[in-house]
Amino acid sequence: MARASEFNEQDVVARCLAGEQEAWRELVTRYQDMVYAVARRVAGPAAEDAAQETFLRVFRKLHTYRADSGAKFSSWLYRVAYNVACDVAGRRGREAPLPEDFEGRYDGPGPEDLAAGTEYRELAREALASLRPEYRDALELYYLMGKSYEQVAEITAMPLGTVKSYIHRGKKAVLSSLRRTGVADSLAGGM
Amino acid sequence: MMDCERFTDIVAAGEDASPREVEEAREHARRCEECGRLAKAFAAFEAASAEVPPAPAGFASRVMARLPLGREAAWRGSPTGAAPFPKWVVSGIAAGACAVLACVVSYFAFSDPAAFAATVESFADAAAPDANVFGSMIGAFVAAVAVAGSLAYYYLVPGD
Repeated sequence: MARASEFNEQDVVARCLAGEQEAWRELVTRYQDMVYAVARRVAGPAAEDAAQETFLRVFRKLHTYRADSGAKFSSWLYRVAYNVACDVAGRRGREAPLPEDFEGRYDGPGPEDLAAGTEYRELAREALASLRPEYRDALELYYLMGKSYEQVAEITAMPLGTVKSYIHRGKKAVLSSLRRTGVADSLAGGM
Repeated sequence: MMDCERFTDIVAAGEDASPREVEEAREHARRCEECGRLAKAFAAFEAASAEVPPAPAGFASRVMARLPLGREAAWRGSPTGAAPFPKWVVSGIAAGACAVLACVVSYFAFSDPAAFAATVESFADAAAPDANVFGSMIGAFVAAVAVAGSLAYYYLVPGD
């Protein structure tokens, strides 16, 4: 994958608009992980379809992206990815927020972590599934985007205040879920 | 003294909590074992949520194979193959123009059948036995072609 410092997104976008095939390959390669991650969080098992459709839609709509508006291309792209994933998921119809192969990173690995890691993945799935869809989307995008409220607001087209409120409520719901289920005790006990 | 609920609020506030609140929460976590564990579990949750796993192997190639590079662009005259207007606008204009044309043809056929028949005869060898019917048929044909063309454009051409 190209390093961020070597990747000039405006240059690549311009070359894509000029129809340069290699530029499209660079763009897809550069953003595939994040687009896939967004698709995965929103569309769950249909992530592959959603992620592919995202790039197809970008191909058709790239001429509508306005670099001079000040919006970063990546934000515009993730917004497309979010919208496509919502469409593919039937908007808010998804049952499970995380696919079966969701891999939760487990900091501070120890000898008990194999069992605890499995338990944690279950915990994360349950905690997120208990959230209202709008809280869940906002919260997951918030972490994916490096805890940037502004970027979540850009992607979801929601007011900044609403995004902050959703994320705060989402976090509280997760914390309540952790406390209520008592899994935190057993988990942290093994850490 | 801070209670467990207040502790939850501060953890949920994250970076928005003040340094003083963070310090109070830390102090509470040192004294309250349950909240200390909760904070660790939540930190693990946040770390996992920030993970961006790599896209599946071959994903980029599958996407590239689906991008109609050079195909759409060639016949649509645009580098990205993108239409300058939304598809429904183009389809609507085409259908509207053809409908107007059909109305004009029908109008002339009905208002002055003799002149219309003469005009038609000048283009065709066989004279129309009934100019009204013939004119209506031409109008209907043009309208049908317009509708079919617009529908074909809307459903067959990739775009918005």
